[in-house]
Amino acid sequence: MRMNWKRTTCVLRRWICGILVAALFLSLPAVPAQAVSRQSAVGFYLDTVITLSAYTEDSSLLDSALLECGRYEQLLSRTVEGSDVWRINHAGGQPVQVSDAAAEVISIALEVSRLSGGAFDITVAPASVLWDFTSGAAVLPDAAKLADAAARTDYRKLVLEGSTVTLPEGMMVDLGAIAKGYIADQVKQYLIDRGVTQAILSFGGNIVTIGEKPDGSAWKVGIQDIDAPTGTSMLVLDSRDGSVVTSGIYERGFDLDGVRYHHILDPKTGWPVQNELASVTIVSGPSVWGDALATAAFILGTEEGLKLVESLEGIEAVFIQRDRTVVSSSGADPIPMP
Amino acid sequence: MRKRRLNAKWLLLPLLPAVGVLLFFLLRPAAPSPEVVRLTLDGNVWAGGELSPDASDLRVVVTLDGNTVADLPFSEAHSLTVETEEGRNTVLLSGTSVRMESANCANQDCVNMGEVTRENLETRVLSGWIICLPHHLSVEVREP
Repeated sequence: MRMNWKRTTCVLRRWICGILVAALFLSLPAVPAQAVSRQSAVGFYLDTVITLSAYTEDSSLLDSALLECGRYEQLLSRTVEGSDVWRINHAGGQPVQVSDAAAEVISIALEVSRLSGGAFDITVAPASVLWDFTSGAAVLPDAAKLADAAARTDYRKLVLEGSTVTLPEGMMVDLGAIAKGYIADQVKQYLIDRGVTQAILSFGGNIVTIGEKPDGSAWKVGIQDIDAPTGTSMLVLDSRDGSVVTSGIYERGFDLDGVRYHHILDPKTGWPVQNELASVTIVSGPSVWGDALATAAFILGTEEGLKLVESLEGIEAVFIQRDRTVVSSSGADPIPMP
Repeated sequence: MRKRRLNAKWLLLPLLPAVGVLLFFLLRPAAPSPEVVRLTLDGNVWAGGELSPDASDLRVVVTLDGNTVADLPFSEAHSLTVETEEGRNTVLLSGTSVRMESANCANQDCVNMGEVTRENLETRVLSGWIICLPHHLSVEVREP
């Protein structure tokens, strides 16, 4: 018994020695990798680009976060066969069991629809599929077809009970105006859960921030100058642990006979909204609300959109009109660029 | 005595795969994306990777579908052309700015995204990024 014990400690000692030597070997290359530094990752999902910049010691963390984007795309995309949205649209009026993620997005979408009196409507898809805003071709859809599509648009006919969705036949759902915001929130939480305290993330122009910059100042988010090349800021907003989402007529669309045909469609007509606005920026905590409200406020216009934003706690807005007039909600503080 | 040495060696043996995996992850970013058909730097065919590493200078990092193909110093003047099966993009570094000089993509959004400078790096709408969505190509001006 005594001999055995001695032998065991001897073997143990050798193992400990081996592990220590191994730890030394492993720690040599690991030391530079473990310093917190600014890391970036870029991915192409949801017909747009996602850029992640975070201060972290884990160089593979952002790549894992991008995989999360791909996972949500598989649930929320209208065009991915077998996704929750695809199954809702192909159920022929039958109830469909969806993921918790899809149910949550649809629930918030319906809430924003109610708050905006139907200005925001995820069932506008029959009209939006008739438009081509991305190929560069300036072609208008058939007016009669658009009118028919608008007649098949009504969020009140979409029924969500728990995680069961029922959509009447002939109608179609697209979460394109809200899914990016939802995914932004999920990826932000994913990074926070893994120890990230400083990051700025962009989901096709929807910006979410974690904490503030390493020097203690706020992250800066530029808002596009409507009369300048893409990338040029007209205003800059400070963001700490928040979301900044802009919907604008310059993003996707085309010009034809002096009219700007853009991707923000009026659910009541199926045509691009023609009002005084060039863009609406929503500043919020959760990006899912910012995403949906940016579209809702744009469609409502400056006056009604501002009323909606002021009625909601923790939501601020900056309206930029086509004549460059800037209208901000009471708590928004955009800084003009020189 | 001889037996003990042998034992220590054997103990390290199982750790070799771990070291291998670690080295793979450390060296991986320098490997060019398999999608690249040809990289041209200042008129010469180039293997890609990191050029003039300098911890004090901003970096210009070019990626294809998220994989780094080139990592250049912001302060040096260079012209980089990335050719893939999807198409061709030419990034111009002036020494004080970076922009997409030309591309054969359909929408020309990247060419119209203007330039990234030290001054507008933070306040620019896309901060340090220039993106060619059709070609899945990105250019980022970033801290070292």
